[in-house]
Amino acid sequence: MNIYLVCNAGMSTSILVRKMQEVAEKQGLADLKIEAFSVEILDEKVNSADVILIGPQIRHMVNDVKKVVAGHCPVAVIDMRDYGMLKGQKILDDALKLVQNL
Amino acid sequence: MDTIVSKFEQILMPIAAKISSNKFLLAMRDSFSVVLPFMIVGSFFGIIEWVVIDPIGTVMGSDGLGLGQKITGLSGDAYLGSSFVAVLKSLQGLCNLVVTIGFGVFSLFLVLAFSYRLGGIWGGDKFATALTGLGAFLIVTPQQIGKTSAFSLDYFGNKAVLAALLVATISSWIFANLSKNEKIKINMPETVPPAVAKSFAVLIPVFITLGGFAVFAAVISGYDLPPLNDLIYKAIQAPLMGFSQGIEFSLLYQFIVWFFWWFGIHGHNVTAAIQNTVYMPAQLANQDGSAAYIFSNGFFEAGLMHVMSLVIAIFIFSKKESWRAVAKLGAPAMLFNIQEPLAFGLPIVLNPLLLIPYILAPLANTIVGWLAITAGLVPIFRFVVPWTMPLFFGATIGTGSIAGGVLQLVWLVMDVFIYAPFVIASNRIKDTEDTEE
Repeated sequence: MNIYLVCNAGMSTSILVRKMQEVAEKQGLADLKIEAFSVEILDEKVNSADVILIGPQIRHMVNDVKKVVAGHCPVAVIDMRDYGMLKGQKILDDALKLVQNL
Repeated sequence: MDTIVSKFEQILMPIAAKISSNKFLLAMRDSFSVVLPFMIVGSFFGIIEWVVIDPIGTVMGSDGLGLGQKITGLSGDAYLGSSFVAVLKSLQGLCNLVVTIGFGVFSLFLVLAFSYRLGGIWGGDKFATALTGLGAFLIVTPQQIGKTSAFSLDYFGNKAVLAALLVATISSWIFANLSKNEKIKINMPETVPPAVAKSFAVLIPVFITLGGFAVFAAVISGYDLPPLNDLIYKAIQAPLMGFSQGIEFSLLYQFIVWFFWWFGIHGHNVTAAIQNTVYMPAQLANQDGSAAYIFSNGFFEAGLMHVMSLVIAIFIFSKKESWRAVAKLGAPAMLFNIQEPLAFGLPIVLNPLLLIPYILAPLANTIVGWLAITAGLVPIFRFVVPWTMPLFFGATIGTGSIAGGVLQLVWLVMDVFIYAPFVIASNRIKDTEDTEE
């Protein structure tokens, strides 16, 4: 499964990605791929995505992201506090829930 | 307070959304970020050329570290005439080849990258649109120096940024729309290979676009007007640059950036158009030495570090466990000027207590930096450094002088004083979220 995080340059989300990967490894979720990149290259990546999470600092772009994704997979904005506190566990759980609720 | 804040948010969010979702501005931002690595590499070679191996520069020269004299044991004219200096000079020439690519031909790169992206959003073949844009740009550029057929690098550098953007926009729009028009498409029989058919399909759009620009260039020269690049530079870019170099506009720009950030909206993303059209060309002009602009991309990126002062203020003054924990968590990222964990974790975002220092600190930095450079204490920001370069190193490399790094340290201390009263005040406010968890 591919979980993609997007923000302006993919810098700050990449910190969160590392935290989420640690959690995933501990839980033995081997087939989970978590990746962060800039919102600019979303159109190249969207086809392989299973869920897309948006950094709160570009939450104003959520409609654009949804347009690019075009219903292909769930899209959600990461909760500000979870994002700031780098709560990898909670954000990963929320993302998995989004996929399961499909 | 809450209702005022939410009202503001209701106003700001749609503005931010509109600006960032504008396909045209997005394509522009994107094309600048494609060219950026070349600028950074060009700067790297520029630092070697002008700072490290310049026989009379900071490292080798007698006004600086004087390493050249120590190595050769010579001084004065004997040093300048030595074979050591001759070797340094030829190495400088080699470095300069890359420097030219990094920013001497910046506008050529920009025309290609921007036209490519515009082709993408307006539905033209991307490569064909990019090449047409380049062709159009070269058509309106003088193709002779004296009696020799040649392009002058003067038309490809920082002064042509706006011309490059305009020409790319117009040519890409014409080309993309023409190539979508079925009526003027040259259709080949099905037996013709698709690649060949494709090249014929864009024949008429290329013809009309380039022909149009040629007619335009002919009209301009027919009226004895200067070439388009000069016209655009004198009529639009130069006044714009002059205006944006004012301290008032620079403060306003910083205010907008950090005000948006306080709402948790990426302020630099929202204002990218300002940055790209005025502060990026300023940086380019600084780089190739054709001008000395105080306010440039590098100047403002050096100021990103002010949130580090908040981290320090918290470590010294805060009695709040939650704040100390977030500061510890966010400090490593902040070392590389990534403020999001702090902005959203403390949070700074929508936190009335931190609104004032969070905006005041970058404004104070802008004023102090402006004064320091105007007074000649700190050189201008000349070299492009990735914005994630840690403080002190960022501005030292950016200005090519330790004075730049010292400026960032002065900012750091000053901003600690700006943040401290508010951090102390927060000790008295009970953290409701702490009791919840």
